[in-house]
Amino acid sequence: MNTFYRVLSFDGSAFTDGGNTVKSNLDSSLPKNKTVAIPEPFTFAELHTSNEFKRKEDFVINLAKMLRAEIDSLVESGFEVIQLLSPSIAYNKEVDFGVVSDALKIITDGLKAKTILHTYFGDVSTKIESLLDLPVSGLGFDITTTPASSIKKHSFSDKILTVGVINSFNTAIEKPQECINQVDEINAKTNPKESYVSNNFDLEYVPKEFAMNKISVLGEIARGTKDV
Amino acid sequence: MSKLFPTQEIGSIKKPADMLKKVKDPNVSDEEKIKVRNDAALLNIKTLEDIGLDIVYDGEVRRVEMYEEPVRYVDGFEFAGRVRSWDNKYYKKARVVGPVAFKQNFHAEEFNFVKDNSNRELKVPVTGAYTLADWSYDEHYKSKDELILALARNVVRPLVKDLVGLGAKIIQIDEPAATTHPAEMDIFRESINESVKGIDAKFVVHACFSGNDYKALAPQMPEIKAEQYTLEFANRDTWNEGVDDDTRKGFQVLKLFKEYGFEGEIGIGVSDVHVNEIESPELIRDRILYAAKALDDPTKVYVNPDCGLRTRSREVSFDKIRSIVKGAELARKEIK
Repeated sequence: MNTFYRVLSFDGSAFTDGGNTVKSNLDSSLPKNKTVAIPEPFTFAELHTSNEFKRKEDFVINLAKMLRAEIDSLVESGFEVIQLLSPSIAYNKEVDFGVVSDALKIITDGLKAKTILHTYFGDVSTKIESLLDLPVSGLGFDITTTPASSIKKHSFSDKILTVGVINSFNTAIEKPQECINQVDEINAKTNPKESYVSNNFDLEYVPKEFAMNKISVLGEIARGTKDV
Repeated sequence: MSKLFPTQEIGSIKKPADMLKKVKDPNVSDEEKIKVRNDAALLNIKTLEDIGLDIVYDGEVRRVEMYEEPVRYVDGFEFAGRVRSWDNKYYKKARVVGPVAFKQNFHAEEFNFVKDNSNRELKVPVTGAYTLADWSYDEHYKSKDELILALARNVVRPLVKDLVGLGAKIIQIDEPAATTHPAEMDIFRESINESVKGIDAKFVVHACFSGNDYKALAPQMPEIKAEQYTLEFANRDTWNEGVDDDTRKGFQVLKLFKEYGFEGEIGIGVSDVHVNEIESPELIRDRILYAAKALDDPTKVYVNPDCGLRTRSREVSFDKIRSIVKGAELARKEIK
């Protein structure tokens, strides 16, 4: 996969004051259960740089404050589920979960929306215990990189579980019944508080017609899985 | 090459607008299209020679771009559609739906033309197996590693072998994806070694800069069967003249290559391909002199732009190359 992007350098402290908050105008054009995806602070810090904050943890915390302002704005606009994209937690061998947790506290404290930390671009089998301790409403997994067998070993009774069952990494269209069975099996073993199904990561990595087909299959899977 | 600091380009140069217009025009005959492509190739070759570049090619003027061109001619691929590469840039991405296999030497016509029209040393750029795999959807092989090695053995190796059979002496394997996944350096090393296995030529590996400043590549370099790496340094260096570490911060990683035991050549990127400003010959001279000292051997230093110049205008590209040639001349005088 081609993963080039422009690295931002945060060289002043002004970004922490909410001045960059993007006001959402999407609420009138979306149906209920509005969800939005934004980067999780640790990942955001991993993928960018700062000359202002020399210590990584300070950079992460300040990004969390910036993102909280953004999230508040989105929640005010009617978004009910905030998906926090966390490829770096999966990709990095070493993750300081203390810093991740402190940053997520800033984001989730008193927030009137559900927050789901979604991991992809790496196997998080050995990190699931730490992930379950994070202050978020739920966790999401890319089951092409984190085997379902690893997820099934854990209880999600106080967490939402999102199973990333649609593969954004290729154009092959999933077989709905196979996916339904897979999600039902995971849910039966993990007993999640709520169950969501999703693509494993952004569908922008496949051409649009394949993305639309995959979303259509995702709908079929969502309708076919058992309630938890 | 006996000359100190030989100059070369990496590969791509923006195509002439009149050539593009004609090759896309359905009313222009095939014969005429062949002629305009040949004319454009000749224009690039002669311009590079006139500027004084030591090692030349044709600016990849006949190729669509570095991914789509080879994929068009390899069995096992099927184009899926356009996807974003970065920013608002899109490329036509293919999926692997069957065993990959070499069908024909898709660079033969291009190479033969350059060979017939230049008496300089030629460096043929070829897209590497790792990058072809990384930029494709794999819907056939069991793993990415399996696809990479299949491409190395069944596509890149026969292509390179055929080019060498036609007379190619220097092959540059282009691997812009290589450094984007530091955890996959072992399979990258294996893919290059498999691609060149049993072939007698000078092999150059071109890898773009990624966030880890070649730190993941450095330990692999002595184990990869390449005599030279053409790498990016200018895009994170200062524009001040000088040969101290702080001024030449973009080039400091050269010392790391040496520490890991790499004793081959480095084609140092002395010109940033993402900006239109032209580096002065004096700045280029200092970058070369710093590199010669960092590698502790001036004969190991080749000089080139960071990467292909196709995102710049032709005027800017040739001005940058002109400055590179002048900078190398100044550096040679300093060493004498």
